[in-house]
Amino acid sequence: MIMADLLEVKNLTKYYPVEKGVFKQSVGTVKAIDGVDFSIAVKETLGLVGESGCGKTTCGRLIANLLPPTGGQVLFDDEDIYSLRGKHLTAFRKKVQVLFQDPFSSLDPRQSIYDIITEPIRIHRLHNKKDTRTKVEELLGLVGLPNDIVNGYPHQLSGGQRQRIGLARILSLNPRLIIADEPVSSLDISIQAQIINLFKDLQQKYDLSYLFISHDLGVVKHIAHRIAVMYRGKIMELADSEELFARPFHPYTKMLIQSIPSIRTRKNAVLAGLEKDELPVPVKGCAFYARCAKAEDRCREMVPILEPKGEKHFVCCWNPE
Amino acid sequence: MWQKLKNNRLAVSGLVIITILVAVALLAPKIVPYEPTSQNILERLQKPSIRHWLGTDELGRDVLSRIIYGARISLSVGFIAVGISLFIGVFFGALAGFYGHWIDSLIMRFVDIMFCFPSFFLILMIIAVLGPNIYNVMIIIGITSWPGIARLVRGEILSVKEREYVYAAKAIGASDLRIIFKHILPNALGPVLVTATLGIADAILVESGLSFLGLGVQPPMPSWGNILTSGKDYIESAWWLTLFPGLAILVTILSYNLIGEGLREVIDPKL
Amino acid sequence: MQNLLEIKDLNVEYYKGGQAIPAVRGVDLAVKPGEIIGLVGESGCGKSSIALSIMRLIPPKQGKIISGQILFAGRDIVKFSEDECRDYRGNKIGMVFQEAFSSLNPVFKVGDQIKEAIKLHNPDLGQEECRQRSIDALRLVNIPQPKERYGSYPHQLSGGMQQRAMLAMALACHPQLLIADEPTTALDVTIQSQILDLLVKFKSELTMSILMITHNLAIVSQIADTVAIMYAGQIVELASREKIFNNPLHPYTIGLLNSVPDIATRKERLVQITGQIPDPGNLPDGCPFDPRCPEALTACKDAGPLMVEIEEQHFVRCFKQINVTQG
Repeated sequence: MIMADLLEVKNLTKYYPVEKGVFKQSVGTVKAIDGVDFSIAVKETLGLVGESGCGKTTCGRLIANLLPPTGGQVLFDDEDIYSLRGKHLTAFRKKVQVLFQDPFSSLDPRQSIYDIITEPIRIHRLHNKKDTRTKVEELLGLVGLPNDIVNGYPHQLSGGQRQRIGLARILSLNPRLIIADEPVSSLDISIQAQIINLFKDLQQKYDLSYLFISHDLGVVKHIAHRIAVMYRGKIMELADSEELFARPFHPYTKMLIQSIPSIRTRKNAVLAGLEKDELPVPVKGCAFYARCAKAEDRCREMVPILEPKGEKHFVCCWNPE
Repeated sequence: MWQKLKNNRLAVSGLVIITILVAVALLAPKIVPYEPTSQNILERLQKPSIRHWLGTDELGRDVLSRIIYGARISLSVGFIAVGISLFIGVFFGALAGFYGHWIDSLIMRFVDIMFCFPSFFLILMIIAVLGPNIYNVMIIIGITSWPGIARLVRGEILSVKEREYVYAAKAIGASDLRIIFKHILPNALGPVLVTATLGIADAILVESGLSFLGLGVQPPMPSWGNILTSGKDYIESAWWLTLFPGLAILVTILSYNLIGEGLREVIDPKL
Repeated sequence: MQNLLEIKDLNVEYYKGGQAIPAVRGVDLAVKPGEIIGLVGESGCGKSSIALSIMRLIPPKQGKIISGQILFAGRDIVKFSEDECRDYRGNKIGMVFQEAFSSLNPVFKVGDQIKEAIKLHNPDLGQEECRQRSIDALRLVNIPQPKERYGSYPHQLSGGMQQRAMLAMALACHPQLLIADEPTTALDVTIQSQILDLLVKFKSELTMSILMITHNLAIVSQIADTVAIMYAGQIVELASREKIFNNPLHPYTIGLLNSVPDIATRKERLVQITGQIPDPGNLPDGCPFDPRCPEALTACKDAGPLMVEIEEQHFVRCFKQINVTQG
C-alpha cells in the first residue's frame, strides 16, 4: 500500500534568536527544531505527536515552507524545497497544503465562504468563472456540506463546518501532501470522529499523504500509519503505529501512553515528574534527562541519536528497553 | 457591519447630524440668509429674532451665517488633518509592523519622542514660526497627531500577521502583496477607523482652540473658534455670541464621538 | 445518605439579540457527600451553565435562572441574596476553571491571592495564621517548596502549577463541594493525569464532593463515581460509571462512546454520529437528538421523552428504552 517517499526531511533545524534591548541584540538562541529526520511516503499518514511547545507546529510550518529553516533540508519529489523560486515555488505551494488547528482563526473573517474556497483557484488561475462554480459545488460535496453555505461568513458556522471549509479550500488545488496541524483538537467528540473519517476517505480517493500533527495520541493512533514522538525539538521515537503502542522503547513515549486516560480501562496515575517548563533547558546531554526515571550519567553528558531498534522502529535514547 | 451599526441608535443619530452638517457646509453659499462678512453697524449686538435667528455680533454680522460658514472650516480641518495623520500614521505603522527589527525600533522610538512633547504647545510653536492661516493649521494638526495612529496600526498588524489565516493564505500560494492588501490591512483597519473618527473630533477641538487664541483661522473669515473669541468680550451682555458657536462645537464633537464609539462596538468582535 | 447538593427541575435561559435561548431545560441532579460526579457533554449542551447556576454567577444581563431549586445542605441557593451567595462561594462551594492563567490576578503573588480568599471567609484569623493556611493549601495540591512558591507571581508558574494554585485557592476554605469546569483541558496529558490524581485524593482524604464538568469521556471514566450525559440542555442518561461505560442505553451515549478515538483500541473507521449539534435557539419539537438518532421512532418526532429509571439507579431519557422495558 505504501509506495515511494514523497517527502524527506534531513537534519532540519530552526533556532530562534532571543533578542533583548532597544536594538534587539541577539543574546542566545531557542532551539525550536533541533536536527529532525523523517520521511513520508505516498498515501501515508505520519503522526507527529508531542506536548505543547515541543516544536511540532514549527516543524509543520517549516515543511510547508512558511518559515525559513536555520539548517537542514526538506526534499519533496527529490527537490530541495528551500531552493525553489518563482514558478517552481508556486507549483510546490499547490502540491503541499496546510490545514490549521483553529478553525476560528484560520479563515479570514472578512471573506465570504465562497471567496475563501475559491481563493486558491483565483490565485493559481485554475478555472474560469463558470467552472469555478461547478468546482465549488463538487468540493462542498466532497467534504459533506450543502451548497447554500457559500453565501455565509465563517462566524456563522460551527467548528466542524469550518474545518470542512478549510479542507474544501485546499482540496481545490489537488494537493499531494496535507500538513494538518491539530485539525480536530478544538472540535466536539462527535464531530471529531466525522472529520477523522473524512480524512481517511479523502486519502483513499486522492492518494493523499498526511503529516498529522497532534498532542492527542488517541486521535493519532486512529489515523496515522507511523508515529513520530517529539520532545523539545527532537524526535524521541519513530515507529509504525501498532508497533509504537505495543512496544514503546523510549521512557517519554511510555510516559505519554500511560498518561492518556482510556474509556476502556482504569489506570493508576503515572509519576510524570516535573513539568518541562519548570526545568532548565539542558546545555548538553539528552533533552529528556531531567524528567527521565532511567537517567544515568551518560544521559547528562552525551546527546543520544535516533537509532534503529527493531524493524522500522527508531529510538533516541541511551537506555531503551 | 452596516447592519449592526444601524441597530446602534446613538451612532445613527451622530451620523445623521454629521451628514446634515456636511450638507449645510457644502450648500453654505445657497442657504445663508446674509453674507457672513457683511457688516451692518446699525444692527450690531441684536438678540436672536425673526430677522437674525441667532442674533448679530458686535459688527452687526449675522451669527447664523457665520456659524454655517464656520462649519466649512471646522469640518474640512477635521477631515484634512485626520487624512494627513492617517496617511503618515498608517504608512509608518505598517512599515514598522511588517518589517520589524531595526526599522520598527527606529520608527517606534521616534513615535515615543513625539509623544513626549505636549502636542498643543508644539502646535503653538510651529504656528508661531510659520504664521497663522487655515492651511498651516490643517497640516500642523495632521503632522502632530499621527504617532497614535502609527502605534495602533503597528500593533494591529503585528497581531494580524500571526493569525493563522495569514499563514493559510501564504500556504495556498498567495503573494506578499495579496496577503498585505487582502488579508492583513482590511483586518487591521477596523480599530484605526474608530481612532480616526475620534481624531476628527480632536482636530476640530484643536482648531477651535487655536482660533480662539487667535492663532488659527484669521478674521474676518469665520470659524467656530474665532466667533467664540469675539463673543467673549460681550459674554455678559450678548450671550448668543458664545452660546451658539459653543453648541455647534459641542454637537459636532459629540456626534463624532458617538459614531466612533458605535464603530468600536461594531468592529470589536468581543462585544 | 443525605444529598449534599440537589438540583430540582432547573431551567436557565440566556438572551441573545432580544431572544431567550434555553441553556438548561429541566435538569435534576443530586450529589452525595464524597462523590465525584462527571457531567459530560459537547459544547453548548448547558453543562457550564449548570456550574454557573450553582455558583449564582450567571451574568445578570446575559441570562438567568427561570425556575427550579438548587438545594445545598437543605437550603435553596436560587433564593439566596447576593450577601448569602458571597458567603457560600469559596467557603462552602469552590470552583476551578479551564483557564487557570486568566483566573489568577497577574499583579499579585499567588500565595497572597490564596491568603486573601482565606481572610475573606475567616475575618477573625490573624495575618500569620492565614499565611500559614495558604502555605498548607499549596502543600495540599503537591506544589513543591510551598514556602518559596508562596511568593511567586502567576506568570512565573507553568500551566500545571497555575492550575494547582487555582485548586489551592478553591480548597483553602475547605469547601464541601468543588466544581471543576474542564480543569485539565488546557494542560498536557502528563500533567492532566497528575491533576486528576489530586482530585481523587481530595475526595478520599477530605470527603469532598466534586462536580467535574468536561467533554472528555476518558477523564470521567478514570475518576467519576456517577456520570451524567447532557445533550441540548437536558440530562439524557444518568448512572454509575460502570453502568454508563459497560451498558450505555441512550443512543447518544452509545454514539459518543463509539466515536472516541480511544488509546486502547484501533479502528479502521470511527463510528460517527451524523449531523450537527442542534442550535439551542431552534430546537426540534420532539426529542432533541431525534434528527441524529440512528434508532429514532415515530414518537420521537412529536414529544420529548421523560427521564425514566430503566434499571436500578440507571436513568435514561429515551422512548426506545421505555418501550423495551415495558415489553
